[in-house]
Amino acid sequence: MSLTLKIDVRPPRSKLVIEKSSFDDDKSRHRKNVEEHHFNHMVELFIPGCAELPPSVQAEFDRCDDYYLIKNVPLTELINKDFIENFVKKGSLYMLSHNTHIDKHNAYAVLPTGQLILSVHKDTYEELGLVGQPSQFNRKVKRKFVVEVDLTQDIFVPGKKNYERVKQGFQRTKLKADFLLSWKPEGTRQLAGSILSHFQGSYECERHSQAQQTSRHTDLLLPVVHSTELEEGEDGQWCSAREWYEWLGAVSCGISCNEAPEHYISRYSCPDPNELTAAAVRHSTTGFIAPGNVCTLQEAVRSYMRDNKSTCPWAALTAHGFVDSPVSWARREHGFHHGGENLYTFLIFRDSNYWLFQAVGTNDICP
Amino acid sequence: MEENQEQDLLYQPLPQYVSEEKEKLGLQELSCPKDKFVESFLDRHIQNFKPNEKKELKKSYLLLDLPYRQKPTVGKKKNTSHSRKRREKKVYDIPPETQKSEGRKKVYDIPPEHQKYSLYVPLHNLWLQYIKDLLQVTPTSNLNLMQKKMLKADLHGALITVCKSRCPSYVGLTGIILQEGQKVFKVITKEDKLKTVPKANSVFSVEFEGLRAKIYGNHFCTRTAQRASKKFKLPMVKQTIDL
Amino acid sequence: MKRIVSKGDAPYYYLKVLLEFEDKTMTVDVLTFRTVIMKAMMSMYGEIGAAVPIDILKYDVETMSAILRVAGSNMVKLWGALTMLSYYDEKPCAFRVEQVSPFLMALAASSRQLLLHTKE
Repeated sequence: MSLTLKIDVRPPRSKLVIEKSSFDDDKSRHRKNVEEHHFNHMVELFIPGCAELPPSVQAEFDRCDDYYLIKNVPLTELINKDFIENFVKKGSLYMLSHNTHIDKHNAYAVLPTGQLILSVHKDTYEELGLVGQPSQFNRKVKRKFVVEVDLTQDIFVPGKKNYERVKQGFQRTKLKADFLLSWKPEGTRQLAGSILSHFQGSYECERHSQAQQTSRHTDLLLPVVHSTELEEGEDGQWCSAREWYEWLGAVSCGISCNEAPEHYISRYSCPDPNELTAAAVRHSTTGFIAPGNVCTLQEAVRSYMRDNKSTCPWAALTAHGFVDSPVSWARREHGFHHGGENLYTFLIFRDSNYWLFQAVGTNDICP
Repeated sequence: MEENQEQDLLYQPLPQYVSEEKEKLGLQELSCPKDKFVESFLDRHIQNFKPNEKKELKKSYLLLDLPYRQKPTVGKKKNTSHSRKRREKKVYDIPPETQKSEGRKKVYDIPPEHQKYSLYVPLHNLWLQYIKDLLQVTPTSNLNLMQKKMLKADLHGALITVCKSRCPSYVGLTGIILQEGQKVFKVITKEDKLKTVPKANSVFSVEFEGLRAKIYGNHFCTRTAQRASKKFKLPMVKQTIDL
Repeated sequence: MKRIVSKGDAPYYYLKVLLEFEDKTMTVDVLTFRTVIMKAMMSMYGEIGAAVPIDILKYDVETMSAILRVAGSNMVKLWGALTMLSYYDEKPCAFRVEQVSPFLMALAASSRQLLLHTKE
């Protein structure tokens, strides 16, 4: 008896969006894109033609806020009245459960818009008693559910039915997690450190600053790109956006693509046409970076590219999102299939044009 | 008097103008007795006449002035299609005058004035005593044996909580069981609300004597009486505890 | 403003892999590493499988970790073959696939691995 095993050899589907626009355009969504991508794990800047990072840009990197890791926080703490009044409603609060794999465990996040997003298992959902939606991915087998609790609603106060129900649900299920927290107060009245004092009494807190790293390249081959053309040039005058993106990824991973090695090992080399640049600098910061910091960084890079007389043809700013975050951009659901990537790259040209690359994995909604 | 007059009318002799013209009309007086005349008359005029039937004929009385029942013609078309549909569906109309069905419908309803939690607290206390006697809880008692007895126990008056359910709005519901149907529990909550909770796809918890029992609703969809005789097979081969 | 959306199968898939031998002191150079991969593909898919073009974009001898590039249609085959390899040259070994992505940029960071240091 012969059995034919049918293996599905199709690779998982992914989405890549390439947008070309100008900073001066009114409809440009460069700010919105940065602000809506709530949870950033790593931000990297690559400037060819510079030996050192410009001081204005370096200053922005140094100004990136610290973040806190608070351990074993029960979810009932997040619906505490004082917590909501002082921190959720005032300023921008970003909280993400730490070390919870979204495909295996329950993951929680608090968005700056005041929503508490819970991505829970079927068993937890059945016990929680709060109404939510099944996950948009893998709809046939309902294994994961997403519950949204709006903390900023006026009716969400102790004593009201909705609040009490949420509280009982959390107490019944005893949900707890370690949280990465970043809070930016609005105005100057409140101190950024006051959130730490809120948790410090009862929970173990750790303060972390973003880890920065610089690497310099010499004699690097750069692909030639035209600021207004995304597709490959007809006579091979410039590279396509996709090729350039692959090359930038190679540089970020530390792969040298100046010369092609033996055919047996690899057939990859810097895309043609390319030009040699004497020096290039790559600076990265890793941790839990708030979108506000990324915004100011983007502005600093933009003004540097606009004003300076340096020889930099372009600058690339990349922000990697968290692989286990329940949301990618705004409130779009995010899942981990094979990679869980949700990242974006800005390619900023001297003439105020920019290219935006948004890359997401299989279990993601196209941004 | 009038009746007598009517009777007289029936048995009165022929009027004078008829009796004068007897010979012309061809009327003859009866030579034989009247009974025999009737028999011979019937014999002549009825096909296959049998003398026994005469007795039967005597018994039956035909009302000649039967009122003619007219069927209503208005909406006739509607009636026919409706009746055809009902026939197709094989719906049997329950006559409204049947006392049995009416009684059956209403007797299980709890009127609003009786929907008060405080009224049923004594029932709950009674149930607690019942379950204590039934299970005989001691610190060293065998839980397995208790579980088997619990399966057959009557739950009317027990205080249950829905601890897990496929439908989130049922979770957290607590109350005293007033009625147990085949597929539902009718429960009264502390807010004096009568809630109907379906047994399917839910897990209930019952507390008594410092012990908590979890009832998987999916496996409990039987009537109380049936459950007393039903055998629960272990291990569960066909059903799971997953909701 | 122009926008290009590419959904569906990516042209290339990138894998971050680690080769582990039972004998911890053993290391291989990049050519041997490529041969190990080729042998894995050969044992699973035969000659045709062994001829699948796989690029080793980066190789670190000390940790024996590499970044591989393969065409999208061959990704599942490669991953399967790497998983099923248990011996090379009569020595027990195993491939650990750490990260897989259709974007090379995504391999530059992984929030699952890099945040371990914040636990202390």
